[in-house]
Amino acid sequence: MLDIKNIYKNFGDLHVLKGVSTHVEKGEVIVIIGVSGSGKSTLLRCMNLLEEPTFGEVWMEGKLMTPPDPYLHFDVIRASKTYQKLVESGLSDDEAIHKIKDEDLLKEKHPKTEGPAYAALLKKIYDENGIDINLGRQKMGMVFQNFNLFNNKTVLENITLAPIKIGKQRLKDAKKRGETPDKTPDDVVREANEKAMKLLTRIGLQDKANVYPSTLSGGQKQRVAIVRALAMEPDVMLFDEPTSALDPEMVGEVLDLIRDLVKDGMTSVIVTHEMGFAKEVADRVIFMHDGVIAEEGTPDEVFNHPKNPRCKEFLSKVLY
Amino acid sequence: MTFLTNVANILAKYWQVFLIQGIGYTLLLSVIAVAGGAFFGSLLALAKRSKLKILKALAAILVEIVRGTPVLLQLYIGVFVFPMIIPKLSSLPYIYSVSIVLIINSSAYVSEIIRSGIEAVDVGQMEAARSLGLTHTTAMLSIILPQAVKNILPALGNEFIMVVKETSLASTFFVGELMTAYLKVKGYTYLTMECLAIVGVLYFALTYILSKILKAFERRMKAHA
Amino acid sequence: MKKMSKILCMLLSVAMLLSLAACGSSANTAAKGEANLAAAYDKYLSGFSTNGTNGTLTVALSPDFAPMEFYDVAKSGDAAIVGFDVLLANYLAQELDMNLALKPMSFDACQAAVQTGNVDIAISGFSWTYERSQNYELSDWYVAGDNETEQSIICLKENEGKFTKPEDFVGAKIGYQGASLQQVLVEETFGEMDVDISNVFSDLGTAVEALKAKQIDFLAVAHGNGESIIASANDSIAFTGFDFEVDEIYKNNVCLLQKGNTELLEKVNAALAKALENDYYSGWYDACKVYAGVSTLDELGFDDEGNKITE
Repeated sequence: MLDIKNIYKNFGDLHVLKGVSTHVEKGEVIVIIGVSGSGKSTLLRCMNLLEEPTFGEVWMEGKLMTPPDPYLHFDVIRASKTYQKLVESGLSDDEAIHKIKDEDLLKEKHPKTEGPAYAALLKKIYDENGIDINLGRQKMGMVFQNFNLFNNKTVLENITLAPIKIGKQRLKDAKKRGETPDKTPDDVVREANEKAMKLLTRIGLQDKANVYPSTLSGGQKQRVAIVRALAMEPDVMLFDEPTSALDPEMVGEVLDLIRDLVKDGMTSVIVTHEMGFAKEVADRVIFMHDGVIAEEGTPDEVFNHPKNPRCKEFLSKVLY
Repeated sequence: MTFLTNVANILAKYWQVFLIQGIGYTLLLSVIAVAGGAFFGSLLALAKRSKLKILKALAAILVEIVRGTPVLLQLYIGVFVFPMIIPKLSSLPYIYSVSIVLIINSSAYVSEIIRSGIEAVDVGQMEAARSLGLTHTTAMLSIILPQAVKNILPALGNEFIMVVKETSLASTFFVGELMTAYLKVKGYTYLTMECLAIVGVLYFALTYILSKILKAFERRMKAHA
Repeated sequence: MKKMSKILCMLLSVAMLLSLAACGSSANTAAKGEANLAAAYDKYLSGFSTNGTNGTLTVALSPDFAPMEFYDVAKSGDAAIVGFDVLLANYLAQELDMNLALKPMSFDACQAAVQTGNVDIAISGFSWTYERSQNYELSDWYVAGDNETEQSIICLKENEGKFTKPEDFVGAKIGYQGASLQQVLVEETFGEMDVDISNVFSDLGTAVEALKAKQIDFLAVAHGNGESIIASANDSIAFTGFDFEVDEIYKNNVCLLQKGNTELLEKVNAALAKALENDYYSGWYDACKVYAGVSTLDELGFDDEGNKITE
């Protein structure tokens, strides 16, 4: 479902991600662990494009979310002027391609400098596979360490804002295309409110529907945040250290909710320090170190039989 | 004691010039400047965030120049140079040119107030909104700007009080506000100190009352949130 | 939110009411017995017809300088600006068959206004100076009573009449308004002597305060201004008894026009010549002295209706 191809992320001179590839199948639960600065949050945020990868591609359900990365398409490299020059100077196809990739010779992926054929191919790839970033994000839910509930909206409004806005926009777009809409804007609002109340009831906070987030506890806020993401009916949920900012007594209620979601089959990628929880819910564990995936496997493999020395070191400090 | 007797005499004879005309015009100019400034300041703030590089640059230049030159200089330019560009201004009283300059001046400061008000909103709010699939514009209108307003309004109130004092410069062109009242009465009576004292007290009273009102507003807003 | 906007509306309406009152108000604070101060002046003023056909004469002046130009707050609008230079402006407009538009602004701004062509002419008690003659067209002289003819030095009451020769001022501090005729005179008279003449002031009012505070011992002023100052000072200030010797060239006032505007200059000079010939100036100046509270109608030969009594 979610394909991460060779992601590099640089912040100026700081190289945070140095070539990360993985993919997430439907129904899979991936847990990402590692020290601070290893790039785990950055990786997660690259998945829904909150961070734009410097190189690499993100594919969601077969659609390309990032701009096409020429380094991942050999036919595009072959169409470039730089390649032509190298081959003319005597390099073989293989050598030329490797030289270009290793030395980042396609000047910042600038279509104009590499020739019209190159530009045309890039455009073709995007036209055939690309998806509007907002549409892509609507299928992915994200939960933040600091909850990020909308302070100027009530709990209910937090949950219904996106479904209502986007639902109404869909109706408008359908009208523009000349289709007759199957519901009215009022229907959109009504349905959103009903669904939101159901979700709130599920987490036992239906009484808090009309209060403002500032009055809630941390655990309540995070559970509302999770439910807000669920309201858009995403296909995958991304959790960025969901319990790291909570007081210990509230961690449990949030983990319980996540556990429920996972049991219901929600595809999830979770960055966390809660190792017990990771062991429990993960289908696959990824250990990140220094911008690359250092160890990957089932919870049993990674926690009980780690191969990578860094991973061993990390686990020995964290598990006791 | 003669000082106080003089003050009393002046007030008895000229109270209308100070209290009605003086304060009246001061408030009028201030309201015009800040209301106009709020409107154009918003446009400037938008321009500074625009993707069109040339619009962004022009807005930035205007703001820098206006904030970096004395208001008196701007008033001179407004009164003497603007009519060359807008001929209609030469037939209108100076208060029009003065108002235009004050509006432009206020817009520059207001655009900065708006910018910092927006930037003070936690970046996580925008991230959460975009993660849900909302467009940048929708996020700005529904989430960011309403929260920014809570930051902006107090700063705007402060700007108003600053402008009240700035209007004193309009006296260069005898526009009628409080400092002009000072000039008029002093020009006739030659009692500089007494007139200054009266005007000083009035400015202080004005700004003091306004800051109290401002604080009351701020308290109301915090309670409402 | 509703309550807040209600208060906002209230405040806005108060501000608006005040400013409306300001625009339309005429401070009718003239006490009984003072109503006739303006009589002679108004008489002269009403004698001018300024509904010209030749366009509008824009005149810059700085109405903070009684009796040459100042505000009568009992009147409203442009009519509140009064003084000798205002009478002169009306007269010129009449002679040039033009309408009159008065543009009040600070003294410096007057010069800038003429320089940029923003106004046609500045009539604001300007004296002839070499620098001005280089940068502007200066009209012929007009005589502003004894305002510029006599230049004196004033002091605190205790020194009245005691200082009559230049040598008397050795060791003292003399103040004056910057860039004025008084500055030229002070520098010429005392420049070589052991007198402290470094005390420059941006305006006369500040200088008077410095005198009262004994920061300076003496203040050089035009005699007419000196009379105004003394009249308001409740007997604390007086003339020293010293008068400057004033070169003819400095004695009188001029109007400022934009450099190169010789066409208007000629017309203005023609009108001024006519006024000089018919001796309008002394009557105008006397009327203004009364208006500024320096003298009474009676003292200067006016009847109660403001008509000049001719013997």
